[in-house]
Amino acid sequence: MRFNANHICFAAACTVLTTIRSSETEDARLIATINPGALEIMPASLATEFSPIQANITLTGVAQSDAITFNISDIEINDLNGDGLGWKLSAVPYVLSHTSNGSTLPIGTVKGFQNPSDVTNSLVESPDELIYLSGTGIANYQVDYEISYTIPVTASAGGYTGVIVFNIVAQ
Amino acid sequence: MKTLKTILTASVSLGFASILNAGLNETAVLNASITAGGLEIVPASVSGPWSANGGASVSITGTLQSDALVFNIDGVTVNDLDGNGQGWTLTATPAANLVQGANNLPLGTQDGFNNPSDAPSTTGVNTNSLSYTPGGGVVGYTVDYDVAYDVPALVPAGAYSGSVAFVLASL
Repeated sequence: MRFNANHICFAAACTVLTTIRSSETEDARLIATINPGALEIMPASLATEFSPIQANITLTGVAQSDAITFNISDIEINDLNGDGLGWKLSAVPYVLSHTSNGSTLPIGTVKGFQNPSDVTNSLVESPDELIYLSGTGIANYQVDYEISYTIPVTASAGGYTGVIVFNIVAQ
Repeated sequence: MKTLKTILTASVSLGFASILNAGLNETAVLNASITAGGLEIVPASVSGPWSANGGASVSITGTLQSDALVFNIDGVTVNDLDGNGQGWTLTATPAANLVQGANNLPLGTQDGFNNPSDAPSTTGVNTNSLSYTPGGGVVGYTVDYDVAYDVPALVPAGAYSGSVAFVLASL
């Protein structure tokens, strides 16, 4: 009886070996690597020089709070780095400086970031800080930024220029 | 002298009798058994791993990249040595997605089988199957197989993998 059992096991083993050797099924292994794209503020969305929304700005002999307002519309973000993280967009505005004598116009009210294209995943932590909470990535995200400057009593007439530095980091 | 003659006669008679017993025709029986070889996909011809686009990188762009990952599995090799007098069919089943954990790159265009080494004997070539009709067996038959995968607009970066299952069966 024991002999017969061994015989059966041996036959089964042979069957398995035959099947393996026949190689009637083979898998081709496919491998692909996807490289990250950029986490970026699209340069083109900030490339132009921005002008105040007010058409005429005139010295009046009194301080004019928030007399000069810039609305920087449609700052565009791409998060294509595929890192599974969200990001933080921050802004650092600087005073406006007279193009000839260097006198300055101070920063007034900063409404900052507003009107994000994806409200659900956007958290405006402060006027100068916006957090995007989703890590799935996004293309062509847009947000506006608004800032005003005050004209002091003693301001000089003439042209003024300044910058706002925007920065984006993953988080 | 008489004595000598008698002896000689007896000797000749004995020799003749000996030739009669040996027989004039004898047949040597030859037995040989031919063991079947395999009907097989040569494992080394498909195991890979296969890289997309010849190893060229693909980056996330924020837009759907159709057929961005093209796999050319060249030289899938078949041996029909089973001596059964039948042809065979070869089928392919590509994975529905290349995967990285829960992330997927979906199957794109399947160009499938192409460029068989024995075109006249290859019939029914379509995307995922072909037939080889002669039953005389074949060694080192080769055919190529092409399949592509899409890269969605937003997908985590990193390495993705999948497989194409090839199955060979007698007709």
